[in-house]
Amino acid sequence: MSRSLFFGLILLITVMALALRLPGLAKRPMHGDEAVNAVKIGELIEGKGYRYDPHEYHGPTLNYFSLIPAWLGGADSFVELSKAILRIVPVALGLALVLLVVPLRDALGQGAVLLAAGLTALSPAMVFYSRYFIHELILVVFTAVLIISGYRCFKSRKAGWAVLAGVSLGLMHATKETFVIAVGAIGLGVIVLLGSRLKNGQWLESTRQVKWSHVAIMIVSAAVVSMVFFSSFFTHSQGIVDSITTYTTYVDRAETSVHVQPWYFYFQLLFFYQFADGPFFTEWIILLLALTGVGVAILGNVPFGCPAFIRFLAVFTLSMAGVYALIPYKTPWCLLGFYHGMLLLAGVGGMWLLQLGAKAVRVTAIVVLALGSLHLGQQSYAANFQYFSDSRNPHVYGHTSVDVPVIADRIKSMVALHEKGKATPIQVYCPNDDYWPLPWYLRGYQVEFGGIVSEQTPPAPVILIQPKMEEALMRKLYELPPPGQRELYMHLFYNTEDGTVDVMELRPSVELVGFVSRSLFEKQMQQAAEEEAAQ
Amino acid sequence: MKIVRVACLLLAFLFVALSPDAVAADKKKAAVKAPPGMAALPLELPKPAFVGTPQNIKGVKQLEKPLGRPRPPFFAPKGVKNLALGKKISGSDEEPIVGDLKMITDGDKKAADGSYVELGPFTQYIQVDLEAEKEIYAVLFWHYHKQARVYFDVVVQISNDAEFGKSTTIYNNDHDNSAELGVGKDNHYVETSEGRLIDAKGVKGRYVRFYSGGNNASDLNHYIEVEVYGK
Repeated sequence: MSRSLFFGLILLITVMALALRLPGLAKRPMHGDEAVNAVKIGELIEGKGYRYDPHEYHGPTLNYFSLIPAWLGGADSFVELSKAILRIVPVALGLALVLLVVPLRDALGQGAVLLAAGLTALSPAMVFYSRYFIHELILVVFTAVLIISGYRCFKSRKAGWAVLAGVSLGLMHATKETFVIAVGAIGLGVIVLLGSRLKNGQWLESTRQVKWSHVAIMIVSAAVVSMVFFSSFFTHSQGIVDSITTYTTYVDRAETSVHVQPWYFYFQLLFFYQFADGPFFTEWIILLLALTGVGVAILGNVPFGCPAFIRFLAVFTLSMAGVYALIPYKTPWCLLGFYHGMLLLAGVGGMWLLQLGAKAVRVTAIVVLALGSLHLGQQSYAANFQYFSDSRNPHVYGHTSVDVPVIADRIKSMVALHEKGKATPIQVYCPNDDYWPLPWYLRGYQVEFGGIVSEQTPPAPVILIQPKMEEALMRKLYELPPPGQRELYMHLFYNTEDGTVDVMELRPSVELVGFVSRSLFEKQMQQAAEEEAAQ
Repeated sequence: MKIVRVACLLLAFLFVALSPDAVAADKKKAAVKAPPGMAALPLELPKPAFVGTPQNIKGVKQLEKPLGRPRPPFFAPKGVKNLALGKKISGSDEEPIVGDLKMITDGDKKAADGSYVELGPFTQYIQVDLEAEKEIYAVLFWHYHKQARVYFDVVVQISNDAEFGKSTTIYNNDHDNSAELGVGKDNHYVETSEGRLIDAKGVKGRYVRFYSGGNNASDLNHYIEVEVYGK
């Protein structure tokens, strides 16, 4: 294959990847985790700084990286942030992941690189999380950069690759605590490779190829980068200590969380998922090709690429998948780490099938690949543009209901009628502070959030609670205020047309009920009457 | 670049053509249900005597547009009821031109002749004695709803003093202080069968006094019914 054809096809894949990742970034409601991240970034751009919290929120890279689109988008405050500004970060990372296969041309072969890039571009899971403002993709991207730069350092013995590997390792550490799994899997891959060269002392030959000064450079680079981020650019030295002590927190959480799932959870999401009357989601082509790729790695007799690297990739991927399957704490996005490895192996497996001798087999492989890719694209479209916030989508996990933007709009339209406008008090009370992502949707408004119905503040004209707090609300409205301050209230989601009330949910099965003071509700009805009269 | 464009278009077409339609569930709706400890005000409204938006009321400042749809059921604490029903009523015009003052708390809210009381011209008031101090959450009253009218200088006050030496004003649309009870900021409104509902916000008091100063059709004052919701 000519160089120009190769890069022409990479360009085509890039366009395809962007076509699936860029459109309608603001369409899906903000997930609670996305909103939490957004609040942290809001604090950073408003000059409140960043302090690493060893108990929550993962590492600082997402926060600092997000400053770039915020700056480019002219957002100087939390209020000015938008979903598009934030989600462009994972879009860029998702695209980077597609293109990061290119430096592996000699390791995987040109054909496998093209297939892997194409499958990564189309994969529903990859597309979904490339539009999801969380940490995971940063970790996956820098894991890939670490592997690539480590491989190239080993091959070229140039110090620059060691620096890049170190920087990547530091950024992995500064992204998410689970980076240790990826580092462990990389280490295991290297050990297995050396183990396979035990005969005649070949492993010694391999280790002699490693310049220990490069290893030192890598470790120092990683430490410097990690310390820079965790210390909030040398303003918070405790962050460095916390970046180590945090692991006690996460080890505990791995066993006691509500996110405990069976071992096959990730495989079910990727390869055989159907919920209720939704479509059957499966990335079967990736599974088929990745298993073929593993087979190729085991056989070792590959007519393209670097067999040792492919074997390393298989060990890395299998060990990542195994560890993630064994850890009881599971959230869907954690699958990305091993799934990226599967996508690379799928490229290898696909290319191996296409190079088989018999013409009939080759033709069959081409047809299967074409149909599989088309099916992937169709599933990507369904997962990201049709079922984007629907529980029938395997990657929609504890996701915000489409009701939430409606709730926020309703609240905003109500307080717009109040004489205080955006300064109108709003109260949101949900048990265990389970009101996210409302702080995102109500940014710029005077909202009192709480885990219990506050008895310290007077009732606001607009109040949002979970149904189990209604009795406490009754006390707040009609027992605590002095006579003369006990206003009548009404359902916030009342339909004047048919006298019903819309049932609103924060997430599936988490209902929110809203109340609005009579005076504000009547103002709203009055406005509607005036608008009708004007028509 | 042409081939890229064609490929993208083809892919987009295939994705859309082959994708199953995502059928969104219908929005769930529920009947109005008051939270525990609260209840919708138990209002019983008379039949409308006229239909549609009145067009002929001109020159009235700060006039609310009729809502054109039923008032929603506002919530108040459980146990709130009409305390004014059958209670003693007095007023500035003890001998009305039409009817008797006790008709104002007899539960008859119809618009028909025989259901309303006509008081003398200019500022007049009526006063309901609840017989004991109560927590008052809402006041609902009808001046006249046989035709669309706007009554002026509508003021509603609550007090524990029968002489209203000290009182709480819960409604006042006397914008020029012609009733000499203070300048009010509340809106003028068109009389309908829904009556005028005032939020009393739990004010405590025994007496409720209603003022008015004629209407857009004449200087006379009318009342069909007043209700005081509290406990």
